Amino acid sequence: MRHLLQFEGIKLLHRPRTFLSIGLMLVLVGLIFWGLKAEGENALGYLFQSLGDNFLMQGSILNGYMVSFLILNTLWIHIPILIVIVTGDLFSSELESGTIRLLMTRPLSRNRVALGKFATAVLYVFVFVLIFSLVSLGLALLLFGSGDLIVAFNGLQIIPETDLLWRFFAAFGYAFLAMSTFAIFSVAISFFTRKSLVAILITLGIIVISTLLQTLASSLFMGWEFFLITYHFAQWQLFFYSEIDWVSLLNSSLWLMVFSSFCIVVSLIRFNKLKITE
Amino acid sequence: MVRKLAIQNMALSYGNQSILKGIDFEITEGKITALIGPNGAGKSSSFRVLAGLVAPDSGKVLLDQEELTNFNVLKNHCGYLLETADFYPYLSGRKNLELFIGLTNSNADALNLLEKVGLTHAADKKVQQYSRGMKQRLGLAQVLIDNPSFLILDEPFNGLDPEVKEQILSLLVDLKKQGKGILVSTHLLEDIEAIADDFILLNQGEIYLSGSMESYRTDKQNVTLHFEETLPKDLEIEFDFFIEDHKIGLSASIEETKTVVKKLHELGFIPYKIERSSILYDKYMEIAK
Repeated sequence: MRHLLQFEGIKLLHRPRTFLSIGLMLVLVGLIFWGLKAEGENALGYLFQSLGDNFLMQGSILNGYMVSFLILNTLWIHIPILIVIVTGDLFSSELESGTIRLLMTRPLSRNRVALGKFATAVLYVFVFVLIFSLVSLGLALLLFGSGDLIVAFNGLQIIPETDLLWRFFAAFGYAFLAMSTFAIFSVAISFFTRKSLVAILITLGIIVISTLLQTLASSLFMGWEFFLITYHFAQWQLFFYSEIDWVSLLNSSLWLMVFSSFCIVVSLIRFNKLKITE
Repeated sequence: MVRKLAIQNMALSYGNQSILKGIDFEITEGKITALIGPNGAGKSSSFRVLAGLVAPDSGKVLLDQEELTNFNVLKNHCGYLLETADFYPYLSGRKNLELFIGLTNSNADALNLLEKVGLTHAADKKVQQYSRGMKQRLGLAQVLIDNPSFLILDEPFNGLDPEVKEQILSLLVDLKKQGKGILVSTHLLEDIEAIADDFILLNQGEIYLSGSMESYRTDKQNVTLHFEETLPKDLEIEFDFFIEDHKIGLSASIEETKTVVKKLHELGFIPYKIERSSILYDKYMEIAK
């Protein structure tokens, strides 16, 4: 598997879209930084103006933790799009360009080749989330300083500065799991389509529909939202409740892992039956 | 010991369409076997099965008379070049080879392989800048990575200019001399006739004719003798032949042709032109029509 990962990694490093995707993420984060630096203090000051009168706040309201939290909240729909541009193409591009024939004539089993694609997707997500976390949290703390975090979930949650760092690490860890599931899903879709663009669009379409169902028709789907993939993506927010709902987090983590496993198994079955004729 | 790969009862269908109807053949180390046939005969489908790209409906494969579990296992003993060699266009030829070398942890040297196929000058060029012939040569270099015992080459001369084609033909002869067993499909009968040891002529998924190329090269060929005068219908020579106004057609070796010409000369008929064509070519044309 190490050789296969090297093989996929080198290919990934030579493709412009790999860096385009990370570059776009950095641009988005940079724009949010710029916006918050310019106008954030006023906007947040207006929202939380009475808070300072009633509570003893440690540091500024607009601090690095708040910025990082806002970035996570703003980009949780954009990040999957940027990831799928790369991962949705991992397998179908081989079919589209005909390189799959060459690859499959090497002494490798189909299962290994397919698992190599999934492992590459997860590895890419790991690098992506790592850069994302370093920039959105590390750089935010450098630029905006530290302080307590105030978030509006179920009323106001005020989390002291000393209790924040591990929550962010945990949230990014969960984001890695959620984004990996998404990446695995996109790779799985690409096993069923011969065109990269179709694979990417189908994956994004499913995410958009799931998001719409979750947000617009939540009353209709009360209780059913557990079966929507985007519901589990958003569970990282639970880390920013004063009392963390560990059971929900565990359930969602398990859901994501079971869903990923299902995608992988279905893809292996599909790939093993696939007649590579062109 | 000379190793032998035997394919038995290989059948393949796509839906209701039967593509290969249970064919048997062998590939032997140190020999070139030509798989020939018109479009749609089943050549490429046979190669896809042998490469594990398509699972056959039936069939088994034996290496030195020992049955392999399935066609996929063949990949451990064979190198493949299937029709067009599609490499990663955004990488150089050398990088592509290095990738495939690393994939199986082979100790082959990319530059050495490129040298064998005459591509050293373009080693660091991106494959998207390669001509079709260069890609085919890169494909052949890739085939040699694991130093396999058997080479399975589907139309390796496609898109090659005559000079490069000659180079590849001579490379195949070299590889044969090194003991490789080569199965090669092509439309270029004349070229392959010169280097192949055995042939398999496929037609509509079945073996129409197969055997040693040597016998077809030396034993019999189609001969047409052209005369200025009209020939009598009751002409008698000791061969099966046909008469058509000014010409006689027969199947004969070179020695036999000489005997016939001598006999005709004795009867007062002197051919002004003697044409010889390959029986294999004629058979090919027969099924192609």
